[in-house]
Amino acid sequence: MTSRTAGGFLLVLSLLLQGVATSRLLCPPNSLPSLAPLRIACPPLLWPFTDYPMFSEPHREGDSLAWIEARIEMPDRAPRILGLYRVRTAESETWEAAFEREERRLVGVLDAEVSSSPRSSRLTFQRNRLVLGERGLVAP
Amino acid sequence: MIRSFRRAWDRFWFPPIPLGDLACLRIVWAGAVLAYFLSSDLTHSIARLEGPHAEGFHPLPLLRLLALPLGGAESLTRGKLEIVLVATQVAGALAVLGLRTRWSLLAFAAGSLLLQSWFYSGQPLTHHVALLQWSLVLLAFSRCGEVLSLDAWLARRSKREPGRNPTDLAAEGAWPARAVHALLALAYLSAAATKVLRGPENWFTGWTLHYFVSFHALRSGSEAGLWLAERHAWITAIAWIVVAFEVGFVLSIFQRRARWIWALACAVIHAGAALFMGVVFPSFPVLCACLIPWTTVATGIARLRAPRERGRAAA
Repeated sequence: MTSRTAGGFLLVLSLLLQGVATSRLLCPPNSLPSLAPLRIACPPLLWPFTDYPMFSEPHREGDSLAWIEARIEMPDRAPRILGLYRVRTAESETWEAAFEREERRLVGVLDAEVSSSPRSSRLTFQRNRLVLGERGLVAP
Repeated sequence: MIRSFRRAWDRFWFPPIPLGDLACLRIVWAGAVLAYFLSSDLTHSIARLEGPHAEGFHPLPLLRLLALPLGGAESLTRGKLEIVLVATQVAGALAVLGLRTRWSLLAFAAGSLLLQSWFYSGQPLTHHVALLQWSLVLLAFSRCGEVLSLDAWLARRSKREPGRNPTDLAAEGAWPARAVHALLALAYLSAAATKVLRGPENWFTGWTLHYFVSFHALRSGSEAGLWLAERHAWITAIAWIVVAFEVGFVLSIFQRRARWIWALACAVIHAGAALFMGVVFPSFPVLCACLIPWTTVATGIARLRAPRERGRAAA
């Protein structure tokens, strides 16, 4: 195979696969069930040919960034941070309800951590929420 | 009509290119992938592999293909992967130096794609080196080892072949550079399309970008990020510039003389993303090396220096 023939083949193959990956021609969205049979090459099937959707999740003024800081408070010791957990509201859910729902979930998830800590340790949650405005993410 | 299409196709994709340009692309791209392998998490991931792969391991199609000579994707053990990693790094060093260039570059490309696709078969996928690794495959089928390489030095020494010059033209040789240029343009179009289609009003009013800048600034405490996060008008302007760049990049394929401006813009955009958003994505600026006429630049610099050196010699 000459370099020209190999070049032509690789060129067409590359452009074709990158075109399919970026256009998502063979991966229509789930919201279009009639096109479901076309979902035959969704990412990452064509890797190293992929689409580039980074930082496109839409946000608007007033959007919130909310998270819970989970800690274990132990007697005679500094509290230990177990992690930061993102909180999102479900449709028509208030922030209060969303925080409560996530805290209930975390109690179950972090149960093993609490059990393995010294007796009389307790799990605490600190709620945090910032709102997007002209000066960035600031306290509401 | 078919004949005229073929002529246009050849003129566009297969023009001649200086051998020095291809050699520079080999050194820059292979050097970048090699540097990535020396600093990535891959070594640790392979070292952590014990026994069969975990439940979340779903081999990518490319891994299934590349792992066939090793007994298949499912049978990749830590020992095999460590051998592939060492062989890939050795092949990478040889490709940069230009020894047995075609084969070392091909082995480097295949090894790096195998290792990366193995990593992504069990870990969340990112795309930061994907195109760079594929570019090595394209380059392996070019004459990128004929100058600025150990192959060229050895050939000159043994007088097997006439010594070639970096300014000598490789007939029909520009296709790998052109192909990578077009792949980059498609990638940028994809990035622009998702931003615009998913929420045009959110992007063009600056709020989507503002959110990500603020989020990074809060998480990292970046002073540059915190400074920018307080300036919504600036962020809105940047959001427009980013989409204009991503959509307009395709024009650089047709603007030969202005290509270096697009390469510079690419470097500035990605440097800004790293500074203000913590998004370190150097592979696209590295790939933009295909927009720079390296041999013309080197010849120009040599011409500028020549009168000075002649003056010094006369004095």
